[in-house]
Amino acid sequence: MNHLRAVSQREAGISHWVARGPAGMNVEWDARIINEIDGRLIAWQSLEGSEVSTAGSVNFRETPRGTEVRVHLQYSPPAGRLGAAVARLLGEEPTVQIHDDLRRFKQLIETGEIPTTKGQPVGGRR
Amino acid sequence: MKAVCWEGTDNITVERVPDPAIMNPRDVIVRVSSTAICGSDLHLMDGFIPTMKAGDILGHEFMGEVVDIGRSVSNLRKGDRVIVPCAIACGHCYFCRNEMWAVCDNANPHAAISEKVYGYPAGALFGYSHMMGGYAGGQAEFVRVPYADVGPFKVPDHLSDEQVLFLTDIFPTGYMAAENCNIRPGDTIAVWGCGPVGQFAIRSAFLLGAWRVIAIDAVPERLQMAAEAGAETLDSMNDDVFDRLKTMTGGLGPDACIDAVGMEAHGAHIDYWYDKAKTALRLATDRATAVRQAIHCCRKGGIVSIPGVYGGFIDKVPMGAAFSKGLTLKLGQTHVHKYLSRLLRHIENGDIDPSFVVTHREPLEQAPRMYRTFRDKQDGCVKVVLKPH
Repeated sequence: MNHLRAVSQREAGISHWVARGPAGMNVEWDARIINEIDGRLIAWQSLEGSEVSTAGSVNFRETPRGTEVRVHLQYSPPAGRLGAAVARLLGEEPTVQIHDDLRRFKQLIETGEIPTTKGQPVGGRR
Repeated sequence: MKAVCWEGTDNITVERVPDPAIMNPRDVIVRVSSTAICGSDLHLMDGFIPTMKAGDILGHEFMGEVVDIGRSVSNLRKGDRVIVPCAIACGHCYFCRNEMWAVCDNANPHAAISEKVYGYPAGALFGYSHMMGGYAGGQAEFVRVPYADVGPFKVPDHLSDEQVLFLTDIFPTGYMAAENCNIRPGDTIAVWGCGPVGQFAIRSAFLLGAWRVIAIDAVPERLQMAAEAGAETLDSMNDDVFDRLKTMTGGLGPDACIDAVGMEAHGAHIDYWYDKAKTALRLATDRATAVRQAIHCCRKGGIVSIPGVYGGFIDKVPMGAAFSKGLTLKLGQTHVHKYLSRLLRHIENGDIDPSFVVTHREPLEQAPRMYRTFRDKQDGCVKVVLKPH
C-alpha cells in the first residue's frame, strides 16, 4: 500500500492508521473491525473523534477466473471539500489510491513482486 | 554502457548510460551479443507511438548471456545463452496461464496510462513507450530482463545468433499471423508487406501447409526474397492488386489475407493520400491502406490476420465488405512465449534458417545510420543486426 505510512495494532480489533495526505501531510485515525467472516469479508469503522471519519470493507469472492477482491470505502476528508479538491490535484484522492493499491496487491499476490522501472538506465538528455 | 536512445522523432542516438542492475527478485541481467532493429522500431523513430520520453533505450529483439541473477530465478545460471521474448509476461495471471502472454495483466508498471487509452491495462514490451511499460530496451551492451524465470529461452550452442535471434519477435510474429489463418490444404494466403515479418509469415504459411502464397510489396529485393521462399509476387504500386488476386484465385479470392504492414502503409490509391493528410493534420493517428485492401480482397468467409502494428484510430474501414462477406479478423501483439519450443524445433530440423532475412550487420554505434537505411529501404536493407560488443 503505497499511500499508507504505517498501521499498528492498538488493542484487539482496534488499529491505528497513518496515511500520506495532500502536500506531504500525514492523516491519522483509529479504526475498529466491526465485521469479519473468515476468507470472505473484513469491515471496519473509524472511532468517534478521529481526524478522518471512515468506514469500509474488503470482500473476497471465488470466481472461475480467480479471486475477486472488492473494496468499499466511505470517508470524510479532513478539510472538507477543499481537502478533497487539493487531494485530487495531487493524485492522492482515495479512489485513485485504492485503484492503485488494488493493482499492486494483485501484482504482488500473483507474481511475488511489483513491476518497476524506477532507477533503470536512461539517456542523458532527458 | 553504450545504448541506443530515442531523443525525439527522427532523433536516434548512441549514448553512454549507466549499466542496468537487478531491481526485482525475478530479474536477470543479460550481456547482449546480438540485437536487431524491428520494423516496429521505425514507428517509434517516426513519432507514431505516443508516450515515448527523450532518453528511452530502444530495442526489443535481443539475445545474449546471463551475467547476473535475481534471488527468485532458479532455472537460469550465469553463462546461459538465451533469447528474450519481446513481450514481457509475468507467467501467472489469467492471460499468461491461457497463453495470451502479450496481454499479461501484471507486467506493465504504467498500466494506468493504457487503461485510460484502451480501457484495459496493456501488456509490456522492451523499449516500446511508457504506455507499453517503459522498460529499457536491449539495443545496448546490457539489459535488465524482468520475470526471467518465465521469459528467457535457452538456445543450443550449435545454432548461430542469427539463426535464433528472430525467435524474440519476428519469426513468432510471422508464424502467429499464419497460424491465425487456420490454414487448410489447398489454401491460398495473400501477404501484404514483404518486410521481415511478411517474410516469416510467407515461410510460416508454407510450413503450416498453404498451397499458394501471394506476396504484395513495392520493393523489388523484398519481392525477390519472397519469391525465393516460393511465393508468387505482386507489385503494389503497379499491379491492380484486387483484380490480380481475384484472377489468380479463379474469382474466389484468397482464403486468408495477412496485413504485415501496419500503421505506416504506403500506397498508390487515393486513400493513402487521404490518410497521409489526416495523420499530418492529427485528425487520424494511423495510415491504413494495407488493412483496407486486405479486407476488400479476402474471399467470403475468409480470415484477415493482422500482425502489422496499429496504435490509435483509423477510418474508412470497409466494414460493409467485412460484414457482407462474413470475415473473421484476428490481430494483436505476438504471444511469443507460446511458439518458442515449436519454432526452435523447426530451426533445428532445418525446415527454416531464419538468418536468410539478415542483409546488414553493424556495430551498435552505427544504429542511427542503420535506422535510416532500414526506414528508407536503401541499400537493399531488409533486416539489420547490431553487435554491441
